[in-house]
Amino acid sequence: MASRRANLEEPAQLIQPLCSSWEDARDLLREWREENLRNSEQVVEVGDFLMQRGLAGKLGDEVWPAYEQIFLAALECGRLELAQVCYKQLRRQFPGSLRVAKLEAMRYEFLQKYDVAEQKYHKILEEDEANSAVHKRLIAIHKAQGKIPEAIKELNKYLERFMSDHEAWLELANLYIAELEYGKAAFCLEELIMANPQCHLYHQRYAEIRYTQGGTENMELARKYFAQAAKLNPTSIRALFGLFLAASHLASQQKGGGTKSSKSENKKYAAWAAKQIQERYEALGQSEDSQLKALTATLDSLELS
Amino acid sequence: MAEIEISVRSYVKLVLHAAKYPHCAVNGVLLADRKRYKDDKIVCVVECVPLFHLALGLAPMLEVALSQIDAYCEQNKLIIAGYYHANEHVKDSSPNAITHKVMERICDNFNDASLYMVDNTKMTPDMEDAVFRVYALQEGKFKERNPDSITLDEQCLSAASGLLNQKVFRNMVDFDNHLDDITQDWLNNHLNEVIEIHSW
Repeated sequence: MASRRANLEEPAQLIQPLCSSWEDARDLLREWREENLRNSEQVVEVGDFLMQRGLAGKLGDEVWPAYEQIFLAALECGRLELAQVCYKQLRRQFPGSLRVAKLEAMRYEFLQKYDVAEQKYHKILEEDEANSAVHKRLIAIHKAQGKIPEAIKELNKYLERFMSDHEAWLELANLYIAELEYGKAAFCLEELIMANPQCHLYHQRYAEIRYTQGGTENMELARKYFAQAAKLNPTSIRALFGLFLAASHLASQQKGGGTKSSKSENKKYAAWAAKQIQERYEALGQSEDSQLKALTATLDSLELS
Repeated sequence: MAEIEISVRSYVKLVLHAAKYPHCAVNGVLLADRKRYKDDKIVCVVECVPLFHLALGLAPMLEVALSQIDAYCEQNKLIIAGYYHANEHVKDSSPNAITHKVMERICDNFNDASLYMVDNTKMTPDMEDAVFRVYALQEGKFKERNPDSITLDEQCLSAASGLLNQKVFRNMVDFDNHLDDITQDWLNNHLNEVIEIHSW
C-alpha cells in the first residue's frame, strides 16, 4: 500500500511488535501452545522474527513443536513458503513420522486438494488405526467442503469410539447450535458436564442452550446451571447475567406461590444477580461512564415491577 | 426503503472485527442517527458495535448485549439500524437461520433495518470493494438491496485497508471480549481517534 502521507510525520506505530528477542519468541510460542490458542496471525509474526534472524536454533528441543506450530499458522495465513521451511526441518529430523505425515496431508487441505489429503490420511490410518487426530482431520475436510450433515454424522461415530475427547464434544455442540438443533447440543454438554463437573464453562454453556430453547422447564434448568456456574466461578459475568435473565423470565411467567420455585424466589435470585453485576461494574471506577449507564438501564428494563 | 450512508468509523470497525477472528463466524450491530432518519429518511450509520465470535446462535448474551446497546442508543439519540454477519466458511456468504432470528428481533424495533452479509472473499488488505452485501427482510425472506442506495464514505476503503495492514484489529474489542473482562470497552473508544486520523 503506497504511502499516502509521504510529507507528514507518520504517527507512532499503532501496534507494537510482539517480540524483540528469541527468548520473547520462545516464551510466547510456548504460552500459546499451552493455551491451545488459534492466533495464527501472531504466530506467523513470531515465526518470521525467528526465521529471518536465523534464531530458531536457539530454542533447543522446543524448536520442534515450535516448527509444527508455525507450520500450521503459516498454512492458515496462506504463507506457503514459511510452512515449507518448517516442514522440511521436521521431515529431516523425524523421517517416517506419522505426525509429520499428517502435516503434509494438511498442506493438501490448504491447497483444497481434499482427495489427495484424504488418501494420505487413510494411509496413516493403515499404520495407526487409533490415530484420533487423523480421524478428526477427515471430519474437518467435510466441514471445509461445507458438508455439515456429513461432519455431524462422522463426528458422532468418532465420539462413540473416543468418548473422552472434550474438544470433539464441544465441536459437535457448536455444529448442532449452528443448525439450531439445541436439544442435541444440550446432550453434548451433558456428556461434558458428567466428565467435568467442576468446569464452570460447561455449566454456563449448557444453561445458555437451555435458555435459548425456552419454555418453563428449560428456563428452570438454565437458572440452575447459571447458578452453578456462578458458584464454581464467582467472577463469571456471563453466569451472573444468565442467572439474572433466567430468574427474571421465570418470575414474569409465574403467579405467586408456584410449584418448583416461586415468583418471589426468582425475583430474589434476579435481584441478587443484578446487585453482583452492578457492583462489578461500579468497581471499575467509571461512574459517569456511558457503559455503566447503559448497564443500569438494562438491568432496570429487564427487571420486573 | 431509505437510502443508507456508512461512515468510516462503522465500516472500519466491522472490517477489523471480521479480521480479528478469521476462523470464526462473527456478528455485530450498526447504529444510525435517529434524527437524520426522522428528518431526511436516511439511514446514516455512524457507529458499529461488534458482538460475538463464539456460539452466535445462543440467546442470553445476545439479549444482554442488545439491551445495553439499546440503552446506549437511547442516551445518544441513535437506533440499531443494521446487523452484520460473517460466516465461518470462507466461501459461504449466505444468510442463514441465525441471521433470520437476529434480524427479526432488530426489525421489531426498526423496520427499515438491513442485514450486512460479509463476503469473506472480499476481506483482503487491498480492500477494493465493500466487504458486504446488504439485504432487507421482506415477508420473512432476505432480498438484496439496490447497491446504488448504499453510499460508503469515500475514505472507508482506504482507511480500512490502512488499518488492516497495521494490524489494528488486535486491539478490537467485541462483546465476547467484554464479557470475559469487563474492563474492555465494547464501544472501542480507544480506536475512534486512530480511525479518525486515517480517514481525512
